[in-house]
Amino acid sequence: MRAIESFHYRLAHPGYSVFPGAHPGQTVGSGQLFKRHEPLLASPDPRRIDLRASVLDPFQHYRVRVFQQHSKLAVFVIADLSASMHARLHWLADFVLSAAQSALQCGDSFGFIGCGSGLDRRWWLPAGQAMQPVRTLSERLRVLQPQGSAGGLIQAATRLPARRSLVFWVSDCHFDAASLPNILRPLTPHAVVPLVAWDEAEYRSLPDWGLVRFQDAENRRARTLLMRPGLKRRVEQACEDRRQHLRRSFRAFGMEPLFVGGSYRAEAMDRYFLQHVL
Amino acid sequence: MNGLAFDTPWALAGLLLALLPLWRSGMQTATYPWLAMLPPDPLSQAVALTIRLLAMTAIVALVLGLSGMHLREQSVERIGHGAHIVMLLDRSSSMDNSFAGKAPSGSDDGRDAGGRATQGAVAEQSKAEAARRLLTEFVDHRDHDLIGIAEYSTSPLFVMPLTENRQAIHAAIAATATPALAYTNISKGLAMALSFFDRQPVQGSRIVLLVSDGAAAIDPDSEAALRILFKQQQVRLYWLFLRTDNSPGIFAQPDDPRDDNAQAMPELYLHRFFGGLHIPYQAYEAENPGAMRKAINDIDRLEQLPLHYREAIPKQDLSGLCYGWTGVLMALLLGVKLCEARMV
Repeated sequence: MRAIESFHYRLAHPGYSVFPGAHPGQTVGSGQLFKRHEPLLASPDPRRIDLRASVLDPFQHYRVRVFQQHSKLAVFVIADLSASMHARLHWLADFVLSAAQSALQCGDSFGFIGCGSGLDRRWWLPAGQAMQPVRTLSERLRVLQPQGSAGGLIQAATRLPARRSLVFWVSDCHFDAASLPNILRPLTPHAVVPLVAWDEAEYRSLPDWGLVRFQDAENRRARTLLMRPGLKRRVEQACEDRRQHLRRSFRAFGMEPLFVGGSYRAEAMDRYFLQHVL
Repeated sequence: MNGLAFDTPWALAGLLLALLPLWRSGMQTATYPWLAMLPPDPLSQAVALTIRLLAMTAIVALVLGLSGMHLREQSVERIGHGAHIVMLLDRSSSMDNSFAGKAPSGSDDGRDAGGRATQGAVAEQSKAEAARRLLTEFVDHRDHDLIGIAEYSTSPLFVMPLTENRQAIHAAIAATATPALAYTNISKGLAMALSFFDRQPVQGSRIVLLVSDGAAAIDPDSEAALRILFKQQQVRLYWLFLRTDNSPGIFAQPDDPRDDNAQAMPELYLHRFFGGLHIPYQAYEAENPGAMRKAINDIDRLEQLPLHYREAIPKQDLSGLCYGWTGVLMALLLGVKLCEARMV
């Protein structure tokens, strides 16, 4: 079994969390980073009285130094488990393991929300700090035979905590582009990393000539195509257009999508977090 | 078409199978994540529809073939120029003699006994044979006629009713090649020939073509009956008399008044009887095949009245056509199958 690779993430503007963790927070508490001075009455800790600041205070009050406490973050993976994701489930299982390990390593909690046609309790992992449930989930993902559409994505935000969390949103976006804003709008309070499963083989591996018959993975409708170089070019162009359209749609919500394909590589995630500030 | 019929109509239940291509496709189907991503392509849609139609048509053609589709026998009304002709042929034994009154000797090699070249037909040829040959030619000229054939000897012989089937007529004329029979009983033969026109629509012209080489006296009862029949049937009568050398002709007047009776000169009396019928009547006296040809050409020229007739179209088996189409369509579908691209 391959070792799980982890990646490093950071949030420039983390939310308010009372639990100590690894990310710069807004809570005052034990920490190394000086935040401000407070009156002794507001923060009754005589050990941290700043004599110099107290002397300089025009109101002759004792001033106490308070520090910013690093806080804990909740990391969630919202995954599209529709039939079209069938070929990406191994990637997803690898990613879930990697993300969970990355989160648990720095003391964050990890949760998983799987969306099929609706929200399914079987594919819901509440935020927690244990690795074993994630391993089990990952193994179940590898053998899943997904059915149906990704209608549950719209309701996924209801399972997220109210405070700002880091959300990895995994989907192949094989649904009507008009419904994407409705899915993304409830997610805006959180730091969202859209991971769009993008397999170039879908349109690059089409034959140049010949008759092919395709069946849609989700609605089982079939289409017969007479493949020819002109049509293949049009298919490739349509895919590129869609990619651009998706990128624009995500950016409209302040999210930068990451198109992922092939097998999972943690370096891609590292690079993403080095390039973008969340 | 209302003439369609089937040998085994229950096999038509197989037509339901033609619905199969609507939800089954013989093509290998690959799963694709999201079809909406593929741009619409009218050509592909047309091809898919065509393949489906080909498959359905192939099944329909096969089932129609299996159920033995055929067109029923039909008749088509045509208008032509012609007549209803009944040929009344003399089968008395004298017809087997030549125009010279002898039995024909040997085969006709185109030369006479002295070795001189002859006109072929003139050489030793029986009257029946000459009549047969010329009548065959006559029939060939008359495309739209209905022709019936009767013969008479001691008794009348019913050979062929009025028909347009040339093959049957030719065969009936050829059948007179069998050796002739005994005597001549012309009144019964005429009665039979006239009976051919019973229950036939009166159109075109009706002709009785009597070909004989002799005549016989007609008794008064038959004479009266024949008069009525000729009037009723509105026929025209042509008498082709094949005169043997040295025999009295139709127009010969008796030298001796004692011979002026029906027993002694039946030909003359028959001619008088026909002339007194008040119907269009023409007699030809032919002493050799050339004269006979001239007589027949006259008839050919005269009898060209417009004629309605119905032409029968025989039953047509369409299952072979169905199987042919099935084969063609299946070959096309096989070609389509070979055009299929392998998707891994």
